[in-house]
Amino acid sequence: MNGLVTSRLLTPQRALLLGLGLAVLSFVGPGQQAHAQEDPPQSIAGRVFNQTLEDGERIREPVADVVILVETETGEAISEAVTDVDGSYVVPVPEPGTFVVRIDETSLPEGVEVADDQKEGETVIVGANQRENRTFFLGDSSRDTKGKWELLPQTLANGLKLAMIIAITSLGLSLIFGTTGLSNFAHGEMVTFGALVAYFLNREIGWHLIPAAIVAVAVSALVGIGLETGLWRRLRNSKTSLTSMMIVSIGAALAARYLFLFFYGGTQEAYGQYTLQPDAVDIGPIALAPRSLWVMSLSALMIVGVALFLLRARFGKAIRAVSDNPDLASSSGIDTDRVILIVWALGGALAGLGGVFYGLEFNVKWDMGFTLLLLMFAAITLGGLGNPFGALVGSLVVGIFVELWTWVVPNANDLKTVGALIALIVILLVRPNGLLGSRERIG
Amino acid sequence: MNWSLIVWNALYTGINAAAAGYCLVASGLNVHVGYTGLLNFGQAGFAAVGAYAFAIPVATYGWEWYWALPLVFVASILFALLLGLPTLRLRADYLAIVTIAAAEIVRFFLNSVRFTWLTGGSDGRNQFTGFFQDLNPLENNARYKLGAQSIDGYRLFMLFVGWGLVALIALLVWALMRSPWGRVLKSIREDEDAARALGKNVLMFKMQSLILGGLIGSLGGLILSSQQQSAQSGQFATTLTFFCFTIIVLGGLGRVKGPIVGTIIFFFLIQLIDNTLEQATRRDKIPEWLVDQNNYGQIKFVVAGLALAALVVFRPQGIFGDRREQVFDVR
Amino acid sequence: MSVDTTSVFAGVTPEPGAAKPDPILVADSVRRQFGGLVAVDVIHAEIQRNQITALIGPNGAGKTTFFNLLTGFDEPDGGTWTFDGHSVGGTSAYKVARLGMVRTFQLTKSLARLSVLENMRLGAGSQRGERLFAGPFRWLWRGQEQDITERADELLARFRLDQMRDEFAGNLSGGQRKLLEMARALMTDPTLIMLDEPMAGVNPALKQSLLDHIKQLKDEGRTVLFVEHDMDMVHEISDWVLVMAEGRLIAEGTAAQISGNQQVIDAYLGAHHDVDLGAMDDQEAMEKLGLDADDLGVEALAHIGETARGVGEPEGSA
Repeated sequence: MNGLVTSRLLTPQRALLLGLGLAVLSFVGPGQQAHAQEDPPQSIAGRVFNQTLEDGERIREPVADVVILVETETGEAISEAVTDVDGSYVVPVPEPGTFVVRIDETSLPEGVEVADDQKEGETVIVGANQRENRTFFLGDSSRDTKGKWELLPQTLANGLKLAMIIAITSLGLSLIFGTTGLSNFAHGEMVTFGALVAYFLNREIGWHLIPAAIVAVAVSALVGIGLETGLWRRLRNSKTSLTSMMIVSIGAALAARYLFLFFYGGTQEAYGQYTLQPDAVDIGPIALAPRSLWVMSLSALMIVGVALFLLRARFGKAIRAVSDNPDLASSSGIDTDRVILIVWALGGALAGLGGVFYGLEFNVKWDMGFTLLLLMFAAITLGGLGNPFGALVGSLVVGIFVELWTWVVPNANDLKTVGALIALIVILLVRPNGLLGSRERIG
Repeated sequence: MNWSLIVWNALYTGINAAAAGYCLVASGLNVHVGYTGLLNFGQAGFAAVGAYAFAIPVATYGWEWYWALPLVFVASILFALLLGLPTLRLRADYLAIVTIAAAEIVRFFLNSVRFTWLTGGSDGRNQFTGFFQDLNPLENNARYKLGAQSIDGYRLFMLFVGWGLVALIALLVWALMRSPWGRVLKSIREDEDAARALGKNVLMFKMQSLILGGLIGSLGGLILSSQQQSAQSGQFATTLTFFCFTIIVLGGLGRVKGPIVGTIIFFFLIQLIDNTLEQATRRDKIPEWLVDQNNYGQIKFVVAGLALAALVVFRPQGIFGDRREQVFDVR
Repeated sequence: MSVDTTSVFAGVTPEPGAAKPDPILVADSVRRQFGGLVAVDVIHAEIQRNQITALIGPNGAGKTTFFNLLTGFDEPDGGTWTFDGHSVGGTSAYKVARLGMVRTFQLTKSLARLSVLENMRLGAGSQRGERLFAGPFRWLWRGQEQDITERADELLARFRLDQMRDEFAGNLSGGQRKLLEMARALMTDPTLIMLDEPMAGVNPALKQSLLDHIKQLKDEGRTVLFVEHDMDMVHEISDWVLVMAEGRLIAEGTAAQISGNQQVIDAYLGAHHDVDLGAMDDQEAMEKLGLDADDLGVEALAHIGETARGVGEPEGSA
């Protein structure tokens, strides 16, 4: 049933889809033929750096033409690859499993050698359709061999990073739920949509990522507005029940997801800028790529902005009033339809931005939003459904839980989200209305 | 274009053993959603539990089928309790989110490389269908003609097993839903507070419904994996649940024959679209820049999703239903 | 004002929390808070057995919340109460109902896609066919089902719903649904029946027959407690009246005693934004109150209700 097809080049189909959503589109003729290039769905990738210390400063340089060997645990050769000028390599593996990745030391340039702790190679567990990253450092081995506890701050920082992205996407989901009562299962696809629009402008048209991202956010907001006026408002006006609307959103999500797969294909792709940043910024025990710092700061800024808007601005207060009690709000002169429209625009924009950030950090993929959807739902459920500030707390818990899980259970990357989902169920057992939720009335 | 082959193949897809498996999974979901109003979005989890609770003991540990079969029931009931206890007291939204999360947890674990020794990882498990093969009065590997369709003896046998089970389950559901027990379920669907005010232990009835529908879904999972002689976690993704939602809405929620009618029509149409596109792209009847050999397969999912959304809006009572009987009220 | 005050209530002091000679329901320190708002804070209340007691008060006074608490549909922050000698504080709603304390709802909960007859049959208690393992085997519950159906048909005839027997309950008119809900509650054979605004949305033609049905309940030996805004109805059928305001019980007495109670007038008028209190003496205020009996209940008091309703009462009260 799922013949995931990968094609790396611009196929005209992709152009068509994105063209439908975009006014800004340069014509891509059907003459360009796609050469479907079949990648195995899983691979091991990474980079090789030469690491030296000069005046106490760590300098990393990519090393080209290094042969990377992938073997089974019993030493049987599977495949190999050579690093390019960026020091990057990708070794496709035919099927999921446990592998050993090591550097062929005969291929190293004069004067450098593999760090002691990497001489034996690294054991990597690759899940289905996953790309595992392993980076090698050459030279006088100043790579820290860190104990588990020393890794904790980094894990938490990674968790915080994920939490920020979940937070900006789930804010919209929470606001939509609060003002309309709809559990929008298509919110994940709004995230993917934003990421894909930016990808299209960035990689296919050739724009720089920043303008591409800005346009993607704007287009996502427009899509939010379009969905509200074209679909959800009509359903509300025809008194469609919330359950029906939820199922409509599920159908729409399914259709959208496979449209993305149809047009974009099954590959994981990176944006054109900011993706290769070997020189991490060290903050105490934590090392983060400049990109990640930007993602986190911008997310934080957005969150603070939205929070201030909700707390201070007249319109933000109106949104909260509608969330509290739509009937009362409309009887006291608030135009609820307009409030909901703005919420959809805001939700769409935040989802689009979250999509770009998520794509920057974890690559663009057709079902990236669906993966995120469960985490978003976990976050807003933990925080108490419909409470935007609860969604923030919930996101923090979920993001950190996801990363912490891989810290507690090593080599379980393909179980990453499980930790958060289990936490969701356990917390609901203990605190049925979420962490910040007030006690529910039953009668 | 070979239309006769396309139509025959679509018809066969509507009634083959896999369709019977889907029909069972959907029948279980119908007990939850159609009769009790429980929004279970994790039915795929029950199906996965059913498939693996049989496949793992038989294929990994070499159990006999008569020990493994009860395990299907036990595992399915445990899964229902695990899902129900934290959520059945809460608002419907919570159940929806927790069930979808739980089904994904199950799938992630089954798919995980860490548990390859147990579950076979993403390859899944096979070699567990000896029981059905021994039982089969037909030649397992012989080819049989079903109209223009040629299938092997094993799948033909599984087709009968699957639909036989569907008939039994339909009978059971019919008998239960005309009973006072079924009446309480329907009253919970309509308004659980009313049922409570009349002294009905709503929580217990919901749990019974969750267990019953889950068990039926598990049997569906067992049929699904057995008919293709392989239990794979990929079969039990959320798409399975969403397909089953489309099936029961199509056939009519809260009707005994709903899942049966829904399954046949759904797979007939889906396969018709898929086959037509496949033939058309292969014979260059459609310009390649529109649809090609590599991506025509996604269209059926898009159609299924749109069909689900459209049915809920325009024909919530199903294609043959009476509007008054629609389960999701358009208040 | 045709209440016979020489009855069981003769020796009862008309004050909040007054002791009754034979109370069926006794509540102590029942408290429920929503955020910062105290929705219910009843120190002591008793309901006399086999009498018709009305519970009145301005919108947002906490009447429905009090109902919800007593019947197990909401959890209190504190308090105890006994029904017929059983302590039922904190008991689940269905257990309370099985003990014989059965309620109806302000917004009728007719089960729209079940037939009227199925609605009625559902009400019957301890049905063998409601057990999962007995369900598929009709012979196990057929006999009992016939008895239940007979009883249901009798009640339907009494409530003049027999014509609608096989209709979907969703096709009934608002008033008929009220009747159906009351009839369905009677299928459980309750000792105490608690009616939440039985008259709301009922057309005037049906009102009288509804009143007669309620009086008949008393004649059958049942106790009735009802929430109502319609002062005419309160005057006509209640033997005793409890008044709540801002979550507290502020007055008790016969309907006649209550209508002269200063605190009650204040409670209602305090909510009455439209009335310029300064320009009126008490007499005028009372007249205003009397004249606007209907108005008081539904329209004018809606304002105060709204604020409280956001957190307090269920959606769509009033």
